[in-house]
Amino acid sequence: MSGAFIGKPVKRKEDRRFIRGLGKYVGDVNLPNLHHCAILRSPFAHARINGYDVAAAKAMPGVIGVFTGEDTEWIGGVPRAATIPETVESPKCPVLAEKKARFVGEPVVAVVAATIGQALDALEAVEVDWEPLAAVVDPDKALADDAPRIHDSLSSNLAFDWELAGGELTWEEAKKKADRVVSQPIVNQRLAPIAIEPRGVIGQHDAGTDEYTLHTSTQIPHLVRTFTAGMLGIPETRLRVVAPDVGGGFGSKLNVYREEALMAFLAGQCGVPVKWIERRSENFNSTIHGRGQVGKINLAVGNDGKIYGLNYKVTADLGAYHHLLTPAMPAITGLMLSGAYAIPHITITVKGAFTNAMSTDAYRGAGRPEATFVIERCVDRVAAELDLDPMDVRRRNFPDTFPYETATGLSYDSGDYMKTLDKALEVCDYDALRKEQAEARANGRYVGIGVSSYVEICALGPSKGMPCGGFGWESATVRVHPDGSASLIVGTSPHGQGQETSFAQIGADRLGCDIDKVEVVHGDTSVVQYGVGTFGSRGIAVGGTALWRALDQVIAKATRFAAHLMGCDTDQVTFEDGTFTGPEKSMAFGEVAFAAHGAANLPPDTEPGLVATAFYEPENFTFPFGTHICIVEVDPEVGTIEFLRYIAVDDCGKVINPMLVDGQVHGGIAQGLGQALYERVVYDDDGNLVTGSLMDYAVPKAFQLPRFETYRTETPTPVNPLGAKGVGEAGTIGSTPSIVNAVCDALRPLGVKHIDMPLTPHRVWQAIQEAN
Amino acid sequence: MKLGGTAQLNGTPDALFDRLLDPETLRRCIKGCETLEELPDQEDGVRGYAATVKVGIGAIKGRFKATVSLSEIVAPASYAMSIAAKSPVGYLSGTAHIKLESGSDGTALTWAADAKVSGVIAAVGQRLLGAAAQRFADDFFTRLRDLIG
Repeated sequence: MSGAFIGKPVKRKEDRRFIRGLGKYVGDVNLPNLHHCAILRSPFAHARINGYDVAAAKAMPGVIGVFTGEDTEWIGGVPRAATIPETVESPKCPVLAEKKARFVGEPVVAVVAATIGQALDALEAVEVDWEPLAAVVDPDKALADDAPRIHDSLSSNLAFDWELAGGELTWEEAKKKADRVVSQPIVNQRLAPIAIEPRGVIGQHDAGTDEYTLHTSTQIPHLVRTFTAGMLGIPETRLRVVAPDVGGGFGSKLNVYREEALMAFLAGQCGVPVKWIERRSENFNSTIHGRGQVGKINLAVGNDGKIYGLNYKVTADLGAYHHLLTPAMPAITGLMLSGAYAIPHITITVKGAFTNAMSTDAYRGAGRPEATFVIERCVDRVAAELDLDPMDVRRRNFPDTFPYETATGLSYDSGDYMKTLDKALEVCDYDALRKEQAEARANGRYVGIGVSSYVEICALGPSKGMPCGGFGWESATVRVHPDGSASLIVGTSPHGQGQETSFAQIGADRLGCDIDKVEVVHGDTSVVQYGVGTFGSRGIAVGGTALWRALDQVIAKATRFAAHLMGCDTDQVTFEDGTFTGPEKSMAFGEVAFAAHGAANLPPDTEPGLVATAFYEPENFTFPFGTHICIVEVDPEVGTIEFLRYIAVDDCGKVINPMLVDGQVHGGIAQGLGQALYERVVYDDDGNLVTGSLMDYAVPKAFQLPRFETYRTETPTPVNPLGAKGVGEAGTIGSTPSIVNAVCDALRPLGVKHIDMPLTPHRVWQAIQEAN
Repeated sequence: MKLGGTAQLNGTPDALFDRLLDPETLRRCIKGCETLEELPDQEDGVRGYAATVKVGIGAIKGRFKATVSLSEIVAPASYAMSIAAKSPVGYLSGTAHIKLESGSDGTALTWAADAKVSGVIAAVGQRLLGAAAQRFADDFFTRLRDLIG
């Protein structure tokens, strides 16, 4: 599979508008008589609402409506689609708080006014009779008997208690075979996804047809339609959802939010289109957070580093309510705990705790960064305890045959983990590096080498294996126009991936035309057949395969036309570089397309036109992998960390556009580095969000990043015809443990075993003091 | 959030105590105070006040509506204060204990407070809050000194 475009670093078609400021985001959408919504959000982490006084707000200039939870009680709750764990307490997550607010930022009152300024002014005139209650934000404390109860309908804050155990050994047998058990408490701290474009929604209602339209900044327009229509109790035929250009998501827009149903409701009530654009402070307090897992891993190992069993107990900080996939996040962590290793036994026990905080949900990697950090950190702890080379411990435990069935029930499709590790070691000249490290140590310098060999799960996925119990497939329609140009109408709705380019590369290569003769259409439920969305590194592997198959159908039909027009049999025609060649004649694709539409000379039993839709249901997930190596020097006096080198060797199968893959890896590493060194969502003990702005939440800046040396190996997946595995999250998954491992390796001579993230200078310094 | 301090003031506790409970003195000494009235019909031994105070901490500015009640009044030595204030930028609730002791050069007023904040002011202003509260208190005593001479 190669051609003029596939495999080439084609510049992004969408950048023609993006870099000139001509993109069209929800904020850019303007409509006649557009009104604006401002939302009063709970200032308390936990408080009863004993009443409202909205009369003054209603009388403010420009205000046309003020609505509370009493007005929206009939609207269904924000959906939880996650189906693992199977049994979960799932209290209603209301559009506007009903009788009680359960986290700082929960929507309480919505004001609609002619301008956003008027709406914000009117918010200040709203009186809510609050009765503050004790709050709890620590997930383990939330599970204590005397913890404040967040949902009155439940007997505790425990949402679920889930165990997964499997493998050829039991934990007891694994411990018996092993020489020791190495334990490590691990915190995967709460993070904020921080897309550059915050969320935004415009609701419209046509009173004549009783139809609603939502413009929303989402990764999943069709699922938003399905679930929001359900919340509003209307058929999907009466709701159109449009995701225009979307400025980043990282999973935070893989969700169905209160504001979507709310704007539809407000538009219907007020008789005008209503726009809400999320402010950055709202983005921090009411867009989903990621991670939030506090646990302890035990690895049963032999003295040679061989892993016999893994036992992980973790409490997941769910937040106050489930969002779309909240409970599935720690479950995915559990499923992926085998990492890059053949581990004969795995047990994971997850307790899901409601807390007075925003919900956690899918953030770039969604369960895999957590799992990878847990296993990769502990493998390094094993190497340190046994005084083995961390690379040798990894080599000793890599599976040697594929597909490999993990103890957690996954089937790793293909892989060559040794290859990425060896490549990374070769690039960094590992043996020489260890010598340099020894010399540095002798000179009182603390240089550390950190490695992370990760495996992740992508191309989500076979519907029966999806964490939401379905919707793993994808669809694409290819609509060829009479001039031979083609619209590729795809179910995946991108939010920065460059799919308008990568899908066009596939289309242009298959149809043998220039890349500007194919356009990629996405994100409008009135145009696209049905699509699941862009998440779980599935765009190319699943969406691209649906496109591939639709192209197969279109080319097959065009070949029938060509054969008929050239007076030969279909199997005598070949199609290459945009030309159909028969025994005597040849025809350009455009000529055939025109004839198919003209239909004056139709082949027998063939309909006019050249359109095909394909649905692709994958047979398995794909499992990309790689090795990241990070080299740092730590200043033990002040705890600062300096990057010396960063090497990423990723294997995402076949690559459609290497430039886009590099971009994904770069961005992913930056975000993983953010978790390792800088970022943490902090609620104080009363549940106030202390990191509620970009002044307080430490997103890494460009100058804080090392130069990324990126390399690839290529192990195609047998799962799809493209051989592509997916790469959207790999960087985030591989980077975090390699950085923390590097810092811990640097400080090993000082007796430091582990430091909880983020590795701020203060924490590093403190760990050194405590170790001494 | 725990705060406190000691202010040296001229005059005896006897002379100061009534001034500290006097609505007009309080209004003039609290920075940003727009109105302050004593509330009638309080329980025995309790004095209540209602005030509106404009407060700015960094970029966060708002008008707080506050109710204050003084209790455990032991003139001229000590009293307790509880405060509940709300504004569009957040809520504040707290308690404080105030003690007056006579010394060789006037009166030492010692105060200790425990306050809870929520809302925008807690989210965005929290880093600045301690210092701002301390400045607010210092300013109160500076104005009080100016007033009583």
